[in-house]
Amino acid sequence: MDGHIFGYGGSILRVNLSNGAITTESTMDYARDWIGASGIAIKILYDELRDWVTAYDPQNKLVFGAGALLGTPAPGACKMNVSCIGPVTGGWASGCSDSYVGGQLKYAGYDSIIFEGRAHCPVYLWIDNDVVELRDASHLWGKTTWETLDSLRDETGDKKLHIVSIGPAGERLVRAACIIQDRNRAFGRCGMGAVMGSKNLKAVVARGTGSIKVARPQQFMEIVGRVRKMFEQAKIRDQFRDYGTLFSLPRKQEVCGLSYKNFQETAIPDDMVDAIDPMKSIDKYQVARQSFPGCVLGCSRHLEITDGPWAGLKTEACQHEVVSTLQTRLAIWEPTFMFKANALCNSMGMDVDAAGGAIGWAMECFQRGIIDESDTGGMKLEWGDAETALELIRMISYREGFGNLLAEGSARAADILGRDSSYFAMHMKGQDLYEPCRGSNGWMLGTVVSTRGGGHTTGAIVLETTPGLDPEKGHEVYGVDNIDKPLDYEGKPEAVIYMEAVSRMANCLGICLYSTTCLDMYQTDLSQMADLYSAATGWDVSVDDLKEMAMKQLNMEKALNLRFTDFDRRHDKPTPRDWQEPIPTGNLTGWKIDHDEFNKMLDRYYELHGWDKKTSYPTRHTLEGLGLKQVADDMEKIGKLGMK
Amino acid sequence: MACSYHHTGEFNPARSSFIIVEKEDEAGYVLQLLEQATGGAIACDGCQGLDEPLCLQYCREHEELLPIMTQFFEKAGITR
Repeated sequence: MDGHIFGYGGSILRVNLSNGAITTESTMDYARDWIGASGIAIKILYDELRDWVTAYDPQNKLVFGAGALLGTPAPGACKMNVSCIGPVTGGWASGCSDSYVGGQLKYAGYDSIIFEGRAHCPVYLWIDNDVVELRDASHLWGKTTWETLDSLRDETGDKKLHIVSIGPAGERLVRAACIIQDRNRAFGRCGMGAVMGSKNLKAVVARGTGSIKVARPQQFMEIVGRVRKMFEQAKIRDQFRDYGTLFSLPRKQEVCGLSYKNFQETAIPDDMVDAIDPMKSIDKYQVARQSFPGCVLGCSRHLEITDGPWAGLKTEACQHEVVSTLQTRLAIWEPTFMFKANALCNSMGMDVDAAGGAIGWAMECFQRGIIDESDTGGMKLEWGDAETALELIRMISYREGFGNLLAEGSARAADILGRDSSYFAMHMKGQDLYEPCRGSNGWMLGTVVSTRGGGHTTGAIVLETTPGLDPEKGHEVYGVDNIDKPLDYEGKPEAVIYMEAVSRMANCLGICLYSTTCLDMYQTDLSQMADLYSAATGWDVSVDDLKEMAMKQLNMEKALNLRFTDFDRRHDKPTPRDWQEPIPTGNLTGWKIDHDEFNKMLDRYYELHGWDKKTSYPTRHTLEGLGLKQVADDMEKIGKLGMK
Repeated sequence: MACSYHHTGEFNPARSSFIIVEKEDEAGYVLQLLEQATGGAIACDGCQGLDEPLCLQYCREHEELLPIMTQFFEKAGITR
């Protein structure tokens, strides 16, 4: 360990894949100003990447970062993060996952790994405490993530070995390829798996037997106990423990929060809710619980599917996202499809949203006669056809035939195909998404302004459509009086900015977003995060300190995007379909985004951030106020400094 | 992690008295309580000096741990 820091592993590994050099740096070089995982990553990427770097250039860097509280019993601390310049948006790419490897990394004494360069042949990184080496992965190249795990466990004789790896999708630079933890958890969106593939890096293996020492252990354990106790008040706890986010399907149906036939509708046929009910499937097929060290909720299950077309499948349950992005989006009624599709995507190292987005676009194009069998290699693309959907996921992952076009994601595929097909590509800034943006304005705002292209995990108000929210508690937590009114436009910018801080700090600390106020107002808030981090490190930080660090990080993400992309205000907007069409069916039939109100809401959001309302660019005043003078100078040089 | 904290004052699953063993041919795991030290792991002492063992206080899998610890206490003749 290079320099002792309480709570942290202490060192950062730098691995140059081009020449094989492996060096260490002290985490202390970063940790006072940039907390943990994604905080340290954005600082490294912003400072070290040259302006001409693109996603697959060897000069791009891939930063793995274990959460600052990972490896301790802090409730929900089980996440690792991976960040880089990504091939989907061309800018900030970042995703996290529950991760055994992250914990092992810290027990081995490391907080982050910076991969740079490109290996001459496939390699994997082996970490066993002080032994860190690149090993030949030629025999693993071509294998699925599941096969890779089995091979490495067989080779080492260690049945408890944990890895993160890429599958065929990452090897073939499928743009939204994921990195997979063991078999079933994904570092999703943005295409970090493709960047890993571009570097000829197949896997990372970590074993550690050291310890994490906290500065004030007794106080730390008292806080852990207090926070755990707090969870007993959380209303969603029991449902969440039993079904994870899968319990939300009926409510999503009530509030038109689903995708049906590629968002042509945002509610599904009522009898489909019952037909595909994932809670019934969990009750029927579950064989064991699944959770990660540090997890406070334990939301997942191992399943063994015993009947239907995929009888015999053994896999982990998916989360709600797969229901909406693949099952209902493609109008598939077979209830076990969601588990089969999720398992296939994970084994291929393929992002579920990118698969659903591209296949949904293709099926709608087929429905409308924009494409036909002459485009698809003879395949008929029809709604509800599960076998065709699975075959397309496989073809995308291997870039075979028509799958090669879909592997680019719906936005690029539509650009390549032309034929006025881009309206049906449901993406934001190139990122395929499952989030419908009609009928939930805080969710919409947080989704469209996301610095990683789009998505609900970086600032969206996830709980605003939850029934029975207590407005008083909402005011206390979110700082607004109308958290329970999803159709209001006022108050949403304030609430989104609060959630931007929560999501970033959760990510930096390695705390699962599902165990925060994101999902239930009686779960971990910034106050508990500050207490835990202070006791762990011995550095006293307040809620305001965490908010400021989160805003500093967010402005850096924004600045990174301004350096590497053309994004501005025009891109912080829902998809054309969400923007133009009223909700066609369901309880909110006829509801439509009010363009004036949306623009006022966006104005207010930029104003609160201190960003230029015309362009969305941060101003010098804002950047310098966060201690980012150099960033302000950089933005001025490239003509992207906000004026007011 | 709470277990290793009791033994060492630090968080280190390798020193814990609990071993999580993944089942060979099926999903899931089995919790094994060490009554004797093995490798770096430290034998359970029932969290002597505490009203309630830390694993029961801090681990989410309280329901799975309770019968294991109850059996341990009975065998060791510890009453609480």
